[in-house]
Amino acid sequence: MRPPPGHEERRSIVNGNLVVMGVSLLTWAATFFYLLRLERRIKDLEKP
Amino acid sequence: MIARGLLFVWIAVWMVLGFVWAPVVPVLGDTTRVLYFHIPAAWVTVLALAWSMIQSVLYLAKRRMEHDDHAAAAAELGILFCIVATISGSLWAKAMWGSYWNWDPRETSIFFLLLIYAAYLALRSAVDGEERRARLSAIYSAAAFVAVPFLMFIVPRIYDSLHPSPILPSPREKGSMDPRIRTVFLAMLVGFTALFWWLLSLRTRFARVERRRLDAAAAGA
Amino acid sequence: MARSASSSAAAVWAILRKECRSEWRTRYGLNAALLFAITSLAGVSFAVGPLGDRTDILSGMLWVVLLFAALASLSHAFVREIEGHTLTLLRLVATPTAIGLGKLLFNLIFLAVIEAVTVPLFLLLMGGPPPKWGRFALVLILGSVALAAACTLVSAIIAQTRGRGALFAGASLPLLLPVLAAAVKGTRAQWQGGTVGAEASILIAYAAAVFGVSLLLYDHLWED
Repeated sequence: MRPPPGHEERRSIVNGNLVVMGVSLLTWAATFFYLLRLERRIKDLEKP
Repeated sequence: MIARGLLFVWIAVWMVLGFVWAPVVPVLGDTTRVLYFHIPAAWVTVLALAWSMIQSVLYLAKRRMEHDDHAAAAAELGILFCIVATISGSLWAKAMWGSYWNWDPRETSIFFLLLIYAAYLALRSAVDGEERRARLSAIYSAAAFVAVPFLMFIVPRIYDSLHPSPILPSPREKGSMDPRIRTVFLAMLVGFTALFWWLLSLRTRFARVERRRLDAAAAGA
Repeated sequence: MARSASSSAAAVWAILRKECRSEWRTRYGLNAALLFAITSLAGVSFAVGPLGDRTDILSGMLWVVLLFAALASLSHAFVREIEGHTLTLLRLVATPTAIGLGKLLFNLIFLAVIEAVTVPLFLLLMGGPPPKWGRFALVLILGSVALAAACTLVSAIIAQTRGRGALFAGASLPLLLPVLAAAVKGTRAQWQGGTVGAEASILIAYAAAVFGVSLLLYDHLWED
């Protein structure tokens, strides 16, 4: 039995949203850890 | 360190909630989520400009280089956030209204801020000498400050009648927002602001360290 | 700052006279500015053609041409000073505020001369309807004052940098957009039969604000 067409369509939109969310999260994580590294480098420069 | 971790979790969590918990605004559909990024970015743009201008005036009054560090750092961050806000807004406009740019009041305002930032940074790059650069850019910042209220509030109203804005509701009807949307939105506003302060501190600390090294090199030579 | 008001006014007047005299001696600034204004007007007219009753485009074009003329010529007053190395001497004999005021008045006269040539030519070439002279002149004068005030301040800043013409245009534009918007709307309004009160108020307010800020800032401009 094939599911009604509307149901299929809705599932693909939800997946699309999850993809965007995933990409955003990844971007944020990458940015954050890059900034952490920057801060570490600055702390090193500030030492002597 | 805890604060950094908290910032990470805060933004990550509210990002997720924005996608899976908060509903969509009917007229915007799935593009609703853009407002969790686009409007906070625009807000930080304005915040950064205000901070930069205040620090410029403080520099002229007190003549301490820390103020110039802050003014310049805020301007660099401001133009970054401004570009993010402009591009996200333009893509959003294309998705919603079919065209990338309409010169409607909001778009005009953000473009104007982009111009101010660009002019300020271009001016800084054209001046030799630390003190002179600080002084001249502070003066320009103070001069530009005059134009801001005119261009943020008065001109858009003039432009409105010159170029009728699209006959669609602006997505800024926060008053009638679903409380879940408003919660995520405010949380992202807070998150972006905290991010800005962190970036600002990083940039100013770096400027200070650089200056110390240059001074040490000059003294040693 | 113990100078009396009258000696400050005398200083401003003296600077103004000196500016006019030195400009008149060589006139290369004025000539170049006039040439540029007429050339850009000719270019616009050639590209767009007579506009008939398109008063919205006409008002926009008029102020674009005036903007170009201002951007091309109003930095001249300070650049000439820097290039001739006469700024130090000037600062010995006058306060920064007096210098700023003198230059502003000079720029106003300069702009007026350019507009006296350009505006009638514009009205002739672009073929618009006859303007309501009173309102047209009001918007023109107020807009020009605002333009000159902003450009004088910015040119004082830019004259001390390495970038000249392009940087002056880029740095001035944010400060000139309010003038442009109000002046274009006012010019359009007088052609379309409306009043220009609101636009005139905006132009006055803006010119006053820029002028007021200039007075505060000139003291900081030249310190080395």
